[in-house]
Amino acid sequence: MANYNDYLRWREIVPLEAARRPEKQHIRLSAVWRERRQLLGLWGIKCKRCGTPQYDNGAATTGPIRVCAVCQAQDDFDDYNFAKRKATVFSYTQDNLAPVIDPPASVVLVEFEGGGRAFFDLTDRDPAKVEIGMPVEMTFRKLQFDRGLSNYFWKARPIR
Amino acid sequence: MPGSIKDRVAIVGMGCTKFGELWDKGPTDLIVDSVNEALSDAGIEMKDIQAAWGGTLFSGAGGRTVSEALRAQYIPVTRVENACGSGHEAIRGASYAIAAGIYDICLAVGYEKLKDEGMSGLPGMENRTNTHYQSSMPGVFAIMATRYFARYGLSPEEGKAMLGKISVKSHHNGSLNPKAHLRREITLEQVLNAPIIAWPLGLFDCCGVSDGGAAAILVRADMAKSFPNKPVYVKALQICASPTSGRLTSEYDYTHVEEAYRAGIAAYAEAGIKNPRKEINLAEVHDCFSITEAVTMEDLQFSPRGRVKEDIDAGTFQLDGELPVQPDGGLKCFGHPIGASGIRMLYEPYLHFQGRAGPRQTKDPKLALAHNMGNEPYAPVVSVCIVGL
Repeated sequence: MANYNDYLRWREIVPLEAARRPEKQHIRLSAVWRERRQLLGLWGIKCKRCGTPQYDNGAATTGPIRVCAVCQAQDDFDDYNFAKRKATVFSYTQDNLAPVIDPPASVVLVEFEGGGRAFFDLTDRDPAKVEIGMPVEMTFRKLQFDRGLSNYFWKARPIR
Repeated sequence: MPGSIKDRVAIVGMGCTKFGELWDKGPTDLIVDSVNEALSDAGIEMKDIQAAWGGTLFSGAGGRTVSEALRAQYIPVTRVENACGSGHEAIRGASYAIAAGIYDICLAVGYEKLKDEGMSGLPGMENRTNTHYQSSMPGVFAIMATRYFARYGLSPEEGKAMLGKISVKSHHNGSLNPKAHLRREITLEQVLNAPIIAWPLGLFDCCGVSDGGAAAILVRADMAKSFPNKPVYVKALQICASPTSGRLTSEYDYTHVEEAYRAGIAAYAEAGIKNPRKEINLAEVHDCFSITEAVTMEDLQFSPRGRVKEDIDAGTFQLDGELPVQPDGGLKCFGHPIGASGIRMLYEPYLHFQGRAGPRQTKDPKLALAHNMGNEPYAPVVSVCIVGL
């Protein structure tokens, strides 16, 4: 951490002006419980027909894959874990509009070793050093505390 | 074998509000004002409308928002939504119902009141598990620009200059359009020095957040000549929805939009177009961001893959160029009131076909294309509508 100001901000000791963007929604315990393997374990699938590893960090939900994105096989998969796999940055942005505690939001589209691609937030990074081809690894983080519930998920971080 | 919409439906009236931060107008005003212009343009009244489709993403659920605003008297009204492509979806609903022989005269209206949200940008979209990566819409399109620059060997300076020229062109056209939101000419220097919204996209690479409404009266083609204006016929109307595999697998290059390419191919086949660049006389495409317009030129086969920069540098897409794109100023200058945009894109060619486009008038256009895109580059639904005489 570069300075004490960042510490105060991250610990929410000094309040910040709210971003002019939508508030995070309440945690939906039923959805988080249902998708617990994908969310907490970073479990995806490997298609038995075409062999493609897949993880769906989707727009509407981080959810289960029922139909293979490559060959359209349905429910014919082996479990496949992404948590300990290294990945490289395929593309990225530094987003100043996104409401994050340490802007810009560094968002990366990563390609996992062995196959599979997904978007993740990039954390513990120097925005100036993010580039295509950068090696990253996955790290488990707390995202949100809401009405007594904590929400956890994975982020990417540069390999140290 | 699917049928074809070609020459079965005609647009005989259109309306479009001024787009902008319309603090004194709500959704009802946007609907009533755009529909009134369309009705009076077609020389008919609301009681002549047999069915209506309203396209909106955020501004009201159900057909009631439209029927209530217009006090439509117990006719069928359906709200349609296909993300940012909702405007074309309303046109599609009306066109297909007419082509099916169910109705003779239908209304399509698109509208969106974005400036009541009390914040910047678009309202948030649902993420059921609250685990979505923290990127805004500029962010997910910026990721395409980053990739495009890398794939085609453009330095950030070269890439940003290529994109900047797109916005300079659109602002010139917008400056000539009294209905546009942003009506100032800009310079490339201004674009390059503007604050970054999501790297590498800066302020002028992003379309505005605006309110607006646009409406069209569609009729059976064989009735079209009985209306006061020169009718404009629907030549093709094709949509393509993404299986969203580009986010999961390495097959997607993130430097094009597959769904736009495929919707273009289907629309060209439906309209009988062999050489889009030569046969299309003007185009309104979904330039939510400058990079979107750049890759869309390639997806619609106006420019070869990876070489849109040559056409941008040559001025091909300027108002006086070989193939004018965004003659009205585009999303860049109109902003993007979601449901309205797809119909606003048809309003401009409609004026050009009738010789009513004022200082933006193109010479004797025969075919025009409107490209309406919803959602992210890796997961969109894209509509391509071709209209002509």
